[in-house]
Amino acid sequence: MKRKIFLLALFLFVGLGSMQPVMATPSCNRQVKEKSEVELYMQKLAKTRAAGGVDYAYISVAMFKQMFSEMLAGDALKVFGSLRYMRQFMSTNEVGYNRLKNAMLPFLNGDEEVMGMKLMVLNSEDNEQSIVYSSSDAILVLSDDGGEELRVAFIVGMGYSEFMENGMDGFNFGF
Amino acid sequence: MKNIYTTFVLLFVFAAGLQAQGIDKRGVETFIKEFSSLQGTLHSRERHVDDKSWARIFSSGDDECYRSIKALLNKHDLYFAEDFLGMELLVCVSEEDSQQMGFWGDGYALFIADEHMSDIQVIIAKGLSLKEVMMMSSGFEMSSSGDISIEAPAELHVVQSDETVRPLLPKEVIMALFNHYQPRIDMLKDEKRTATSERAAAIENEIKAIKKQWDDEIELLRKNIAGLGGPSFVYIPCIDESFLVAPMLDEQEWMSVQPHAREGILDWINGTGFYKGRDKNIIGKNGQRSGVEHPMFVVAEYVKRHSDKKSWQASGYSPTMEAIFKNEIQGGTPLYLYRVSDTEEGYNIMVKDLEQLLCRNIGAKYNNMKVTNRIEKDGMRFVQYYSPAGVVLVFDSPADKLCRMDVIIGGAGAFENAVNDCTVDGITGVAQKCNIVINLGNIEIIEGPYEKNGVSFDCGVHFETGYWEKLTGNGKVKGESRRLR
Repeated sequence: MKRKIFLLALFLFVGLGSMQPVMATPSCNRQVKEKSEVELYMQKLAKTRAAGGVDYAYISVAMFKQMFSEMLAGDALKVFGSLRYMRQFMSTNEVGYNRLKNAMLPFLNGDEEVMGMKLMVLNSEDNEQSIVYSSSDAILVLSDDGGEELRVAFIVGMGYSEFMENGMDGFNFGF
Repeated sequence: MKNIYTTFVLLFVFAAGLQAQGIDKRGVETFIKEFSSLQGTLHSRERHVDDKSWARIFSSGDDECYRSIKALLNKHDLYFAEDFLGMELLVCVSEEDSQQMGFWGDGYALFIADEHMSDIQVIIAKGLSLKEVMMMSSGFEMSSSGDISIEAPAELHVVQSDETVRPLLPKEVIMALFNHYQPRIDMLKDEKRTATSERAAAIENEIKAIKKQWDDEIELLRKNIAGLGGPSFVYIPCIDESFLVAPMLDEQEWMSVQPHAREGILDWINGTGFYKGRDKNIIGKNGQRSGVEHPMFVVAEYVKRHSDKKSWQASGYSPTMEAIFKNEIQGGTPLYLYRVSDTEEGYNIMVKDLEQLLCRNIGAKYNNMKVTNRIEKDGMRFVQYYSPAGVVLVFDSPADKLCRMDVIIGGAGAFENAVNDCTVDGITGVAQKCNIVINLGNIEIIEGPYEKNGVSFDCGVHFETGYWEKLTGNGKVKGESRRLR
């Protein structure tokens, strides 16, 4: 009896817990998937925008769908599949450029693997660099003109092959 | 047994507790109350959308209030938070000193628009989507800044195709830019090989500047041109060995396009096989206005105006019509175009441009066109050119500093025929049912007789240009009908 009651309690606990993704709030949802090292790093980087010189944008796929579901057909929305969110940083002056560059140095060095992400593309000419890193469910795109503009885009919930399929011509979302 | 029961209860309560971890409703209430304690002039509104939905809108009325709202938001670390009271950050745009953030969770929404300079708005809502809440904000624009633009690097694209740079621009335009900039870069690179270190550094900077200029131009073109999704230009042949191109985009934007890029755009237009040209003169310069009227616009106007009366499509733009619109506009002819001087500078430019057309007498031939009418009075000049392909009317009034040109392409009757041929939601023959008067982009639909120059019309398309009245004194042109039939 003792064992049965304990199992029942455990079942209820696990059962209710497993319903969270459906019933609970988004903040509970995030507990389900632990953030990767690179996600945490980019989240931390987002806070440095207070220092200025860097424009920043963040959009979750929930918001994207909310904003554009009326404009896009179902098939177009499927593109976003498991996409979770995107962040973008763009330097707007030299100070911001240097700051963002320093923060992204581990990736700009072109190492084969950084924070669990693998180097997929590296194009370098003169001082300009275009770099793509990828993990199983995230993409990091860096575009450095070697002077003032450094653009960093981070997409979570999209693998490299999906990015190549859907992102070749670029995403461009306005809100 | 008691222990087992306690364990069960505790586990159950813990599990249920996880469910209740959602929105902190008391926290939301407290957060709202905190606004009432702020210093300065606070504007506060409560809006009930329906029984279950409401929104509280707070905005700063002065500097002091702006600062105290900011302090409150900072207290909760809201400028950098990714969740708040159970709501998740769904969107955030931060540019220079302004920032917009939207949180949403379990029916609750929080939107903050800090525009800096004493202007901040905070909206807390229940029962509304974040999009609806954002629409309530005075500072929110759907097409405002905050674009997220994520692109594969250009070189990545090269791997996949022959196109060189950004995929969104037509390749003709890209090639025009390439031909313009690349030779200069190549030349500098050659020079750099044998240059002193000092000169090499200077060359490097020059190359960098050229590349930046190139990039800037691509960005500008992408913004102005590529978004149109196709060649939205109108090419008019037969005037002074040249062709007039009327871009279907804002004139200022077109004027901002560099000449070498224009070449590319025009190559692109020619490349479509629809418009063929040799020289490329652009309609519309500083101090002038130009515009295009297309039969479909006329029909659309008619449908819109009569939508209620005749129970046609309420909007006047059914999907079918939009599809027709697109095809017809890109199809090109027939068209009615005008170009008119807005300022003295524009007048001077136009008169100079059109002098060759203004000076000819009746019967003179010019580029497959024939002068079929000419009137001169008090220094004013009017000349009409005719060809099976179209009609060109030019008018000059030095006293008014007014010069204008009207072009009807596709033959005069073609315009009216096209209007009659258009079918919108089963409605055909619009110009057979009413009079349509077009004047500098204004379209007037007249149901009933229309009288012009002593002639009464039951239906048809008419162009009002204003210069007939000036030339004939009383608005009557004897024996002259400009009805397009």
